[in-house]
Amino acid sequence: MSILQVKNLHVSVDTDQGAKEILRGVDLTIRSGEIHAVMGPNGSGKSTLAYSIAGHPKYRVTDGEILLDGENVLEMSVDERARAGLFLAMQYPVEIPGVSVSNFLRTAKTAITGEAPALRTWIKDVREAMDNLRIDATFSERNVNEGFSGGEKKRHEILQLELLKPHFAILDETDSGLDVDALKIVSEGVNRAHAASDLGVLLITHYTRILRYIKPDFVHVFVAGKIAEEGGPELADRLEAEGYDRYVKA
Amino acid sequence: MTEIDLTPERYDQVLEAIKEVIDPEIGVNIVDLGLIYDLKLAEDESLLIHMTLTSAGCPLTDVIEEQMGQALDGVVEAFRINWVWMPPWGPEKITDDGKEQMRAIGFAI
Repeated sequence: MSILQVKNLHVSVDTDQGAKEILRGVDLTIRSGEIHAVMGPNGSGKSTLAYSIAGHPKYRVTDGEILLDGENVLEMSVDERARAGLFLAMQYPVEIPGVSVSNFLRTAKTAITGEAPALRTWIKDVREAMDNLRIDATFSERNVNEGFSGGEKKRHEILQLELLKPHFAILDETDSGLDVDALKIVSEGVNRAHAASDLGVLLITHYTRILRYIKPDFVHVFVAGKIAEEGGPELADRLEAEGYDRYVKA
Repeated sequence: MTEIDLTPERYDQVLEAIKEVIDPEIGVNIVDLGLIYDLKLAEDESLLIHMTLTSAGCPLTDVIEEQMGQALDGVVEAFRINWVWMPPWGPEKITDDGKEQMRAIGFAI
């Protein structure tokens, strides 16, 4: 059982007009096996929360803390966070020319577990995970994300999730840009990872659509850099019907 | 000298065991590299392994024999490697699994 705690988190970014505060006191606790949906309008700071937990250098934590099983995450480098069990599925996965998917996955796995996985079993694990996500076998030869469609990039993020087996996964708008079929495949992957390893999930989304396939235990409405309301899955249904206007105007 | 075929099941079982033998230069097992040409039984019932190496005169025969001994311990009573140089090995003999393993460790193929 692991626990990820975000306490009174304030985060700023540097702009031409000086420092701009994006997160204004976020409190969030996720335990192993829990699925938390963070929903909110564009520009509310959802992605900033994701990047701050993952350790993007652009985001400066000015107050508050992030703890993973009591350990101070903010003192860890990005790779240390990954080894500690944190995973970020990026909204816009980056292309890495010259690095094949196959080599990338094995190098990442080796870095996280501290030892190289046995080559033959690893190849089988990768192939099975790719089959499950309907990723064509030829993808292993291709360079990471290079020339991938939007849906292929997202499936590749979930492939990493299933193979790297983190304790907590932050999915930053993994649903954006997916058609219904791809959304189902990606959701199945998240649900598989959740069932297989008691994964804790922070699902960041703008739309309720993905919540038809991934059932959240908790829903947090994120507005203007903080959580405006919290509830169970019924809150998502209400957002579907009413939108975010109620929070934005208030 | 007469050589006897292994049953298909036995052949696969032995081949699977030999997959533990890793080519020290490439880092991939010798079966998926396509280095095993044939497996037979000699008249004395010892296993006869017809195999090649990626290049003739490769100095690694001792290393491979030693690994082979460990891999086949408990699988066969005795074995002998018959080094074969014709037809020469070529990259087309690498299995799809072998190619995938090479990619995983960083070969651009």
